[in-house]
Amino acid sequence: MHDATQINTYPQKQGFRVRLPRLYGTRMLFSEILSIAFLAVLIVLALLSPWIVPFNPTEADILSNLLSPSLSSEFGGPPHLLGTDVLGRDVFSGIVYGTRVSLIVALAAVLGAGVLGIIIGLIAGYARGWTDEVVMRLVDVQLAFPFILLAIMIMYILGPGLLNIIIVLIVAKWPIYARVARAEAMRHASSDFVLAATSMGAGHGRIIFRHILPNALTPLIVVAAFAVPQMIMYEAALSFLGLGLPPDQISWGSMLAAGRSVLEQAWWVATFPGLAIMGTILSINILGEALRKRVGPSSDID
Amino acid sequence: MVTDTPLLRVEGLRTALGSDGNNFDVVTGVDLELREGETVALVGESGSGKSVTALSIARLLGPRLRTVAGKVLLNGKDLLSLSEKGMRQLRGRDIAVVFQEPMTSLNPVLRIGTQLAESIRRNPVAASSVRDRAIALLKSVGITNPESRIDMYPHQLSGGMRQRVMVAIAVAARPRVLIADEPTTALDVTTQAQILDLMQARMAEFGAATLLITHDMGVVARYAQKVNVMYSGGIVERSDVHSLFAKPAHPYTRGLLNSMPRLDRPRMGRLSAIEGLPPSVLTRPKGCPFQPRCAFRIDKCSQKPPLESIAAGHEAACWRAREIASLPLDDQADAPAMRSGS
Repeated sequence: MHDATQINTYPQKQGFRVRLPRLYGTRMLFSEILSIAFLAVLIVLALLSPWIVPFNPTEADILSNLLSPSLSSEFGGPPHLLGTDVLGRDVFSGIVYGTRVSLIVALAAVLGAGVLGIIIGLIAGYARGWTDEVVMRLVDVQLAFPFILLAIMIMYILGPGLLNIIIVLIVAKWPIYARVARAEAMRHASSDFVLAATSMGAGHGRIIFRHILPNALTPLIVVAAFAVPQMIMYEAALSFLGLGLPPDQISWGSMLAAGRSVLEQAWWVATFPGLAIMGTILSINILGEALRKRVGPSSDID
Repeated sequence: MVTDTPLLRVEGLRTALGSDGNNFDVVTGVDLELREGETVALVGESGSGKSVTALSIARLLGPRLRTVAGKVLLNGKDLLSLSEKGMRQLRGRDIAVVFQEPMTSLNPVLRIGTQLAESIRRNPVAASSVRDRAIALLKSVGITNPESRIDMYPHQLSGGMRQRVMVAIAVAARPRVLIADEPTTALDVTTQAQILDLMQARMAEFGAATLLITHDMGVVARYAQKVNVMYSGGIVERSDVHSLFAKPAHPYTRGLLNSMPRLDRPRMGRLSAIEGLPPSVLTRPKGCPFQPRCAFRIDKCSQKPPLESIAAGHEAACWRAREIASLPLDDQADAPAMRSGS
């Protein structure tokens, strides 16, 4: 007899003797712990960036442009650990400051799109009828619209800026939540406990947000977890295209763009921000998968 | 404390399935009366329209069903003409429902105390006393150790426990009328009796009326004062409990009683069953809906018999009601005919 919770879909390496701790009954994977560590470092960097960075990441120092990564300093002062770009800006400081932008954009956009989409989706799925029709056609239109085109339009109207990037991402991404929330609302709207609550005099608002929402939350949390890295990538893409932040603010995407033109002379300018993006997205995806495995809709299959 | 004016009075209730213009009546004109302190049973087999009647009274029909005619008068106020908002204010306080499925009628992600508190708050109550009230209610429905159970989730409780909680929720706002839609069908027999006993006790406390929907004649005999027998969307016999069991006047009621095992009579071989199936709403026969299955069928049965009084407080919808009421139960005369074809 083996305990069902011990089943792990991933083959365990022979001779791997370290027993990792369990989370929700499933043993954690080494990659999951690594991801948590990576994100923990990122969050610390984001919070403490003004005290960590050796240089002002936006200050040009044309004398020390395109310095390769090194542990020693050429002109005295702190070393350029990850080199400098074409204007002599420190790449390491840029990445550390860019962490803030990426995390803020990702979290704010996921939260904003999630709250908006969930409210709209729950109401549509509960009310049915023409409300549902209108909302769902809107969702279809929204999803049929290419993201970059939408982003160019909105950013052109609003102008560059952190808040505006968040707005673009919310506008582009609420339909995903609305769809999932609508399906969940439909499923639960005809359930016995909703009928019972109605029979005791609960109003529509109470039924939707008190009775249906908590039951709908599990799949939505999983959707949100996978949306975080997506948001980071979109922000980087927008900044890379020059549609994101104004030039005096630094982000991973704009650093990538700045490094593209000098890729042959100075590989480090584009590579390190790229690695930061990759590592972050990978880590969050691994954790999203870890979450889905444990609480997601198909968690009983795993 | 049974008074003369009915608390709840249902007149000519008709509920239909389907969109406009293409209606199939599921409930074909039901009249009911409930007086204070009274328990009235509505019995019938699956598909006879008892649950739809209950949901129509409480205005809880799903999107595919619609009440197309009739009145539901609660203290003289017609529930069917109230606005959705007006109806919502009555729910819980004036009319409450206990449903059939305790396993799914509680919200799985909310603690039972939270769900109980929702209906306690239907009446003005100090926030600080809600929890105490909830604990007292749980205790009153026979839940031991209510102080710790109040913080449990539904999945931590057994079916019987959950139905106790449902009863507590239903009576929390002291409703005038309780509709119990097969409250114990999903439970085992010993639990059934406990739940029904305590439901009666709670309702008796504040002189409320109960409409008890069931298909269990044993439950009817023990808990109801009056019985309405429903068949194919209409009431075919209405009586006080004693004369119904002693002198059933409708062949369907007779069939129901004959199909029950009896301890007070010698065993007589196989239990008799009512042959055939109840008609669906789409293929309801002309005239008396029971005639295709009826051993007492005569030519006149192609006309629908009205629900007529055959004795004081005893009505039946059958052309031969008086004659049938005078027959002794378990009379073998009708049994072979009913069994024919098996």
